[in-house]
Amino acid sequence: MLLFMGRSAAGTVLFAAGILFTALVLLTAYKRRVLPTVVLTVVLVYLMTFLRDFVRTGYLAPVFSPDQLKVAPQ
Amino acid sequence: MNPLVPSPDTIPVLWGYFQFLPMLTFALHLHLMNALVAFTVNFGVAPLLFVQVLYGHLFYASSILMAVFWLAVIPLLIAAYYAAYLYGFRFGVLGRAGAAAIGGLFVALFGRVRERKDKEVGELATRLGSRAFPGR
Repeated sequence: MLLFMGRSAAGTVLFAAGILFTALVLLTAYKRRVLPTVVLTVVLVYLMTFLRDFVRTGYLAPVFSPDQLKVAPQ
Repeated sequence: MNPLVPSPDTIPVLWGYFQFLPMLTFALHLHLMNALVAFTVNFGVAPLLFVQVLYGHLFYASSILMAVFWLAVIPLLIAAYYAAYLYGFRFGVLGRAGAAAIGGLFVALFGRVRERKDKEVGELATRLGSRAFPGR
């Protein structure tokens, strides 16, 4: 997936941050520091959710993108 | 476009909202997974509904194509609820060896499923998993 390796700047930064946070979570977990681990895990799960969104958008790009949808206010 | 996929409906607000809200609620779903089954299900519904707004035409076509697996979610959820209660109320009785045996059973069954595709890894997992059972 070149999307996370240079083709998209935001994707690459997110991916790198994800790896960094994973390492940090492992580090704090091994040191048995609960609160930093919990906080970092919460952030990490959000990063992973954003990464999923990049994958979904990238995967659907040839077929569909959400800006094709027409907005009709109610 | 593919004839299986219907033309999408209109959306009431800009699509960015429907991009952001499922990400927010899906992360909550993942967090609550570690705490309570009921909250997990409740917060799983929200992102599913948002996804249906944005990707509805693709989502419905895919649901029909994988109908058996998609509908299997309901019996699997019922089984998961029972398993969660069993785990919550009776897990302590098993002790340490019992807990290891359950993990081993999972690894062994996974290996059995895997064997068809990757014989070497499958057999290894089956052997390793079985080792967790006392008396083997």
